[in-house]
Amino acid sequence: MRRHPCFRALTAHSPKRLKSPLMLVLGIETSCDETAAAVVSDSGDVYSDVVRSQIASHAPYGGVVPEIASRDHARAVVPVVREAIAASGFTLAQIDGIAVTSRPGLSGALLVGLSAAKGLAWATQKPFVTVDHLVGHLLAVLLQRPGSSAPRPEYPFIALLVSGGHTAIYRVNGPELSLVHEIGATRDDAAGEAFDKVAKLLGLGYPGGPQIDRLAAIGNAARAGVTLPRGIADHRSFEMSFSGLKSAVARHVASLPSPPQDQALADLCAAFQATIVETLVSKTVRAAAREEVPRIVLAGGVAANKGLRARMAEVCTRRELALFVPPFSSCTDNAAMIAYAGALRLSRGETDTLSEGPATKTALLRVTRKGGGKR
Amino acid sequence: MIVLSITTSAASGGVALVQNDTVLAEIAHVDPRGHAEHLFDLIDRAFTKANVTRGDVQLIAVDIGPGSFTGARIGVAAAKGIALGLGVHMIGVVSLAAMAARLRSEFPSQPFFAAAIDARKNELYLSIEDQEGAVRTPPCHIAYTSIAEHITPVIGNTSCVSIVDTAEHRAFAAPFASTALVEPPSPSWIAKLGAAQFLSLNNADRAALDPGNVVPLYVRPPDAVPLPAFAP
Repeated sequence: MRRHPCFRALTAHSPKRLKSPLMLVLGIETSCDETAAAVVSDSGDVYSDVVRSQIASHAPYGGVVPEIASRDHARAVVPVVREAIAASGFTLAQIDGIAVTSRPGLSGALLVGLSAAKGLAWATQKPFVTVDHLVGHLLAVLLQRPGSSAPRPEYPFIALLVSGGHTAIYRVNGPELSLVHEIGATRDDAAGEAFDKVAKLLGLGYPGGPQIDRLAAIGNAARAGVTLPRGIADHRSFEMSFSGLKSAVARHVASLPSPPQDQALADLCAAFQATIVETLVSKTVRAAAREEVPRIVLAGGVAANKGLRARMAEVCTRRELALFVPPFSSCTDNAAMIAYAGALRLSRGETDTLSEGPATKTALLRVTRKGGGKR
Repeated sequence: MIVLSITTSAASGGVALVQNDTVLAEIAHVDPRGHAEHLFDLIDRAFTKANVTRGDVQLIAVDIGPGSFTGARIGVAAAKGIALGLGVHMIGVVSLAAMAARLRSEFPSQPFFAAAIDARKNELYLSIEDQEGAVRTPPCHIAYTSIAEHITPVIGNTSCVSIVDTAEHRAFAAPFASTALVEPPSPSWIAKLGAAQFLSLNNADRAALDPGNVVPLYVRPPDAVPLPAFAP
């Protein structure tokens, strides 16, 4: 684990860091299928960022199994927290607060991180804050990782948050819940969920996004011989829908004499990915135009998709919008973003009590009507 | 030695502070859906009642189940955080073993002790121990209706006392037992058994009682079914 350049300077004047007051927060994240812990300051400096993925545990089931996720978290939480503290170069005693994801997510999985974080905060008598996972994702672009000098956007910015569990466009005026406004979101499946489901029906394994992205790069959408529906293509709406797209791919595959292979498979992946990317890019760019905010931020695991990044960059350049794409490690689930969002809450004087429970839904206000599926 | 115990694997849960078999404080509550929300309030109340401080605690004993999967994880994860934060040892105690240990102290003349706890899906988690505390039937999950098949071969012509966690189960256990109690694992017995197990270990084995090593005892696997390609 790399240490931040100012680590030496800090510890030289430790333990109280009198010269430049800095709040160091340990963040813990167990909302889905990654057990993660990180030490981050309220200025966004990442001192450690440990993520233990459970992909191998869930792959045999073709998706995340909540009970298996919870069991894995219970095994991993202490080693992951210890590693994050050790790699940060600080000791637990030097950490100023404990932050943990309390929502949205799988409640059994959230409970593991939440209970462990409460135990740590109680035992060490440090301040405790809960963090909304989606706020964490939206602020991940502001993290300062060692060796990276990527520019950080000013507020306000338009963020496309797109992952396996969430897909929405936000206007972010600041780091507080009340300053984040949903512009539009999916009514049914998340985009990442559509990737996983389509990958499953094409026999590409789990998680499906990277496989489809790889094949789409060598495929030709025009040659796929299928017209896929763009859910809620109405250009006035910022709402999205991806379940019909998934069903259309399923119907197309069922109509073929045999499952698509090789180039035909790559072409179908290209057509599917182009449809999703076009919806995401066009709605995000239109949101930036409507809000008159010339800054776009990508967030969430699907932001790692090369097709999405390339198309968004192309359109942003043409429209003279500044695009901020965090490194891969800040896009996927991680605890650094949780620690940072928690540090900002603590620096505003906010804390939570140890009676805080988990919630499956975000605390961000929704404007999008919910369809039959999950958001 | 002061032990802090936590039990959240059953519908009722609680915490206790126990010093050398003396219960300094024991606070229980009943709310199967509220363990995560109530636990630290119970802990604070127990410390106030016992008039001790965090720094006095030398061992965390936690109920690892079997019982509710999520319930057991709440207690185990909280105990891990506490043990890590205080830098003390942590020991996992089997819920059924704490129930049996309590029976042994209350009915010392009985040869066998059966403990059962609701496992949902018309099943029980069951284990049977003898007078010395040796486990004759390790924790398992069985159908309510098959309790006779599991108890009779172990206890033979003798009797046993049993302890079950709901009145509903009493009817199944009663024919084989001289006494049927309806009690969940108690916080103070989790602490007492945890302390006894800790004291029976040599120093090398105590060093392994680390919060990183304790995991819930589920007994039953998750319900999920693997995709055909991965099926054994």
